[in-house]
Amino acid sequence: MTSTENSNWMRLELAARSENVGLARVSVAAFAAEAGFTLTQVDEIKIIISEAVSNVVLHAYPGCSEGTVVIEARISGDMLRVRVRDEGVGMEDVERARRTSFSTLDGRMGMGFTFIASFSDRLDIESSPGEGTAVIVDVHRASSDRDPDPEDGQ
Amino acid sequence: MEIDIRRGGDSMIITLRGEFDLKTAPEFCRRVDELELETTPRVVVDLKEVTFIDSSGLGALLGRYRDLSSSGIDFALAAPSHTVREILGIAGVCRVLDVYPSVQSALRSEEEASRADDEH
Ligand SMILES: Nc1ncnc2c1ncn2[C@@H]1O[C@H](COP(=O)(O)OP(=O)(O)OP(=O)(O)O)[C@@H](O)[C@H]1O
Ligand SMILES: [Mg+2]
Repeated sequence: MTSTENSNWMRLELAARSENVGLARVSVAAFAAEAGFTLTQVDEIKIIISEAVSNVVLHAYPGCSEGTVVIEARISGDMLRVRVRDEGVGMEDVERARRTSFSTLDGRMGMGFTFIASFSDRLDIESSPGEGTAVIVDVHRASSDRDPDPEDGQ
Repeated sequence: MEIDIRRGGDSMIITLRGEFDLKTAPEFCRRVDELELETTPRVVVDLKEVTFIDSSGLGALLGRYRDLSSSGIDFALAAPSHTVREILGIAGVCRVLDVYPSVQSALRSEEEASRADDEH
């Protein structure tokens, strides 16, 4: 199933628009599934990508309709590392942005980074005002689903 | 995402199918905001066929919950799949609003609640 020399990469550059969030998440999900990540992990990776890319669409380019998001994923051995970056406004305070329920937009819950953190083994945010943002997430491949759910029969 | 709205007894049942995210959340909000709910005591959102939800979908659900409950209308979720339940759990949604295993059980609990009101 998985080759002994398990290394692979992908790179996707998209217009930062809500129509492209689904494309980003299914692309990385397919990439991770191919590398032997479990079904549960692939579902969680979808959420990670969806949150990071949605954040670019929502926050990185305020008042500007022409922004870009670059999604890179790399498998090395048992680890998937994803990098989602933009060249947008960046953030003043990364620690504050990570806090559950912190949001700079009305009507949003401030849950995105909390979801990313709970489904990943590591979340790094590199950002400074005017310099854009890179969100780097690591997920280690599990050997089997840790939380099988008999109710769903999936 | 497909959005299907019908009456079930006293309640309004909103059935969602597909992916509930940044792209599809605005349509859900618009459809709920357009509903004429004057005499409807309860809105139930059937999540059984929601294959994906993230903070945008969840934010849309919580936003509608806030609006409707401030007008005295119950807002409940029904039949979330495993992944959807996981998201609801991390966000602590189950502490805020009612989540039922099926639409039937959500409707049943509404009947019981109104029967209990009648007895008083
Ligand atoms: N790519 C980005 N560029 C600029 N700011 C960002 C970016 N990503 C996140 N932020 C900032 O970090 C905050 C927290 O992000 P998070 O995803 O946790 O919550 P949210 O997007 O505001 O709400 P939710 O994810 O629940 O819809 C955002 O409100 C925004 O201020
Ligand atoms: Mg977010």
